[in-house]
Order: sequence, then C-alpha cells, then structure tokens
Amino acid sequence: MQNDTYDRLLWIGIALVVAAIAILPFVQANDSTQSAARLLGRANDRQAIVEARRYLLRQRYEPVESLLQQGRPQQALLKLEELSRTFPGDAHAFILRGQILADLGAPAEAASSFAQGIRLDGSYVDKTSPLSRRYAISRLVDGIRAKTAASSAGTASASPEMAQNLRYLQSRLAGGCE
Amino acid sequence: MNLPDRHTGTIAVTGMAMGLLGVMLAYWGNPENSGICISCFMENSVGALGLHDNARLQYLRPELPGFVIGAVLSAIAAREFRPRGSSAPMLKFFAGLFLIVGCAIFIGCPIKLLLRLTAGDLTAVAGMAGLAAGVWTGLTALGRGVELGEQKPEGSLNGILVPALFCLLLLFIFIRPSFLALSNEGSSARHAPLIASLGSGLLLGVLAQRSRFCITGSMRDIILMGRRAPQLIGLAAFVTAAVCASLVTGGFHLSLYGQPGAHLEYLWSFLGMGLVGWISVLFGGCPFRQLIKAGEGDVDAGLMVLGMVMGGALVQAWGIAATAAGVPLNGKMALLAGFAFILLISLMYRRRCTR
Repeated sequence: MQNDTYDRLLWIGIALVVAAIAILPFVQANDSTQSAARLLGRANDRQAIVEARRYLLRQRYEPVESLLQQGRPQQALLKLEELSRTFPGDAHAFILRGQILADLGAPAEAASSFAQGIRLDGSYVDKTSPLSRRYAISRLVDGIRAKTAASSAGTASASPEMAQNLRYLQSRLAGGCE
Repeated sequence: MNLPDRHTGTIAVTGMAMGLLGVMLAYWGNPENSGICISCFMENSVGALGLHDNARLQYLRPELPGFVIGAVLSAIAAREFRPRGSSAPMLKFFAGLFLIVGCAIFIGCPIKLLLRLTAGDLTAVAGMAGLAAGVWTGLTALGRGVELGEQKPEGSLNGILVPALFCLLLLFIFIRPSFLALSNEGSSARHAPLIASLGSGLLLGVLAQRSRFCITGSMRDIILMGRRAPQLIGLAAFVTAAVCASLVTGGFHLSLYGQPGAHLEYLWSFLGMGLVGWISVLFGGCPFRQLIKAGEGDVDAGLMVLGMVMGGALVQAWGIAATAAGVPLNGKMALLAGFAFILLISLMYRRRCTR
C-alpha cells in the first residue's frame, strides 16, 4: 500500500479520534453522571412499576386473602371469580385460584390454574420474587407425582391435559432459560 | 428566459412539498420542528416494536412505511424497481447505525435540521455547518478514490424484503398487535392524525422517488455544480415553503435559546451532522434517501435501513441520544466511534493510483 498525503491525513484523523475516545471519559467525568442518571432513572421507573403492581395486587385481592384467613375457601373462590370478571387474564388470580383449589383437594384443577398463571407471569416460580408461590406449586407437583407414581400406570394414568400442565410446572420449577 | 425542465420541476415540487408538510405535520400534531425527522421516527417506531424501553418514545410513525411504500409504488409504475446491490454488506449496516448516532447527537436528521433552521432555531446553524463540512469531506474522499464497489443486479427477493417489512409495519399500524408499545406521554404521544401522516408519507415517497431529492444529495450537487445544480431550486423551494408555513402557523421563533428539541453544545451538533454528511455522501444518501432507495429495491440501502433500525434502538437503550440537557458522554463516545469507522473505511476502501 502506497501512502500519500491523504492517507497520512486519514491516519492522523484515526489517531486523534482514538485519543479523544481514551481521554473523554476522564475530561468529562461529571458528564457521565448525566447519561448514567438517565439510565438509572429508567431503572427506577421499572422498580416503581414492580412495586406499584405489588401494592395494587395486595389491594385488589385483599378480600380474597381475608376470606382465606377466616377459613372460608369456597367464598374466597367465589370472590375470586367475581374479581376475574373485572380483571380478566390477571396472573395473580390464577395463582390464588391454584392455591385455593390445591387446599380444597383438587390437584388437577390447581395445576391447570397454576400453569395458566405462570405462563402469564413467571415470577411466581422465581426463588427471589416477592410474589413467589414456588413452595406451594412445588408441594402440589410433588404430591401429584407421588400419587401417580404409586398408581401402576404412573404419569400416563393422568389426563393428557394434566400431564402437560404437570410437565410444564416441573420444567419451570427446574429453572433454565424461559 | 430558460424555463426549468421537467426533472427540475419535479425537484422543486418535492422540495416544496417536503418543506410544507414538514411544518404542517408538526402543526397537525407531531412534536414541534419534528414534522418530518427520519431519525426521530426511527427511534419512536423501534420503541413501539419493543426494541428499546424509553416509554416516552414509543409510537409506530405511519410516515415511515408511507415513504417506503410510496417509493415502491412510484418505482414500479415507472419501471424503476430494480433489485441491486454491491459488496461489503456489514459496512452498509454499520453505516446506517452510525447515521442514526450522528442524527441523535444533533437531535434530528438533515430534513429536521432544515425544519429547525426555517423555524428560527439558530442552534441548528452549527449542525448546518457540520453537514456542509461532512458532505465536503465525503466528496473529497470520493475524489481521492474511496469507493465501496459497483452495484450489480440482485435476485428480486433481495429487493423485496425491506419494502415487505415496511408493509408489515403498516399492517401493525392498523391492526395494533398486543406487543406494540404506545407512549401515553412524551413526544411520542404527540402525533398528527393517521390519515395525514400516512398520506404525507406516501406523497413524499412518490415525489422523492421521482425526483431523487434529498438534503445531503442536494448539498453535494450544489458543492459540485454550484448554481447549475437543479437541487438548488429544490432546496430553495423547501426553505421558502417551510419559512412561509412556519410564519403562517405561528411556529417561527427566531432565537438561540428555548428552542424545542435543541441543545447548546454546538461542537457536538457540528460533529454529529458532520458524520451524517460524510456517511451520506460515501453511501449515497441521507436517512430519508436510504428509505426511498430501499423502496426501489436497492439492497445496500435496505441494509442501511436495517442498520438505522438497530441505531434507533441503541441510541435510546444505551443513553447515546442527546436531549435538551446536552450530549451525554455515551453519545460523544459513540459519535467518535462513528468517525473512527468512516476514517477506516476511507483508508481501507481507497483505490490508489500506481505510479
């Protein structure tokens, strides 16, 4: 390659740009806070949304929780149905229904409800999420597996839908990429 | 007296329509001085598609599919839809990305630069000087033998894909799939009525395809040909129409301070538009022209458009884009990286004379 004046100018330009990239963060250290603040602001917004959602869920399903604490699961289930008509497709309602149905001894329906809820929002099986119902879901899955293992046909004896839900819940409890 | 020929007339009509609609779209609802801004539209649209999380910049701007589909229809009608492309595809992709970086540092594409100037925004003078310097530098590079390969005919599917993508975006505008994010606040919550946006986009797409008019292309031709360049008439028509429309609609405020979507870091405005001018000349057009060429089946332009899509997402996600508060450090670093990129291209894609 034969270098002429234009080539030399380009090389000088590249050297200047590289030097500027290296120096700029030190020269404008305070400027980085502006950029960082904007990105941090978005992180704060995301955190606020998460906290607001948690607060809203607590408020929205407080009547159901209170009926459960009073030991009236049937009424809690009815209240839940009523709320589900107002807020259809809410993952929290499916999870609560799963919990109630599991306590009432309807594991197939509970598994179906848990699976629907987790498909909508995976945080209910996260170990660290404040919304986590991992323990309740895990207990249900283990119970169903123990029961089906005891029967001679194993998992095959369960209905195809229940088997599908069970495998889905098992997979989500096992972790991995979503 | 010599009457302008038909092509010059088309250029004048395109310039006038662009200047007029650029102001009117802002009057009808788009953000101030942003009646037409390809980089802003790109950032808004990729945000709506979920490619960045700035909740204030998410709206699928109908003007974008309008430009491309208008160009497709015009090219087909004129039998000018010719899928074609050259080598070095990655360069085109990254050139498109850095085009948006340059625009994001200035806050606007070359069309918005003129719209800002004609609305009395004196901060845009630095950008104008930068764009002229960038175009001149690009022309010098071309004169010194920098070339990115000759275009050859390509298979028709290659040329159809990007227009098809924009047809899909147009479909999304009407059916509004659930994954589409739309801002409730911020500049993206402000937009002209759909029919006005889409109609303007289609009209400008057709006119720009017929006339080949774009801002940096005009500046390039004016630098090369002086007063003989027909694009001079197009630019004059743009400026006249935009100034008149701004005055009539009350959008003209001559000042250095308090201008919408503008910052006071003149050096970075100059450099941002300088990078845009340089890339535009080497790669055959500003962001708007790339959309029009993609609509004609130009695969290189299509790759640049995809790079622009990526650029639109990154400038928001990585905190690169400037705001009225100024240019963030990330933006300055990204802009310098863009200059390193274009300098390396100039160095490595240069045909040297052998003695």
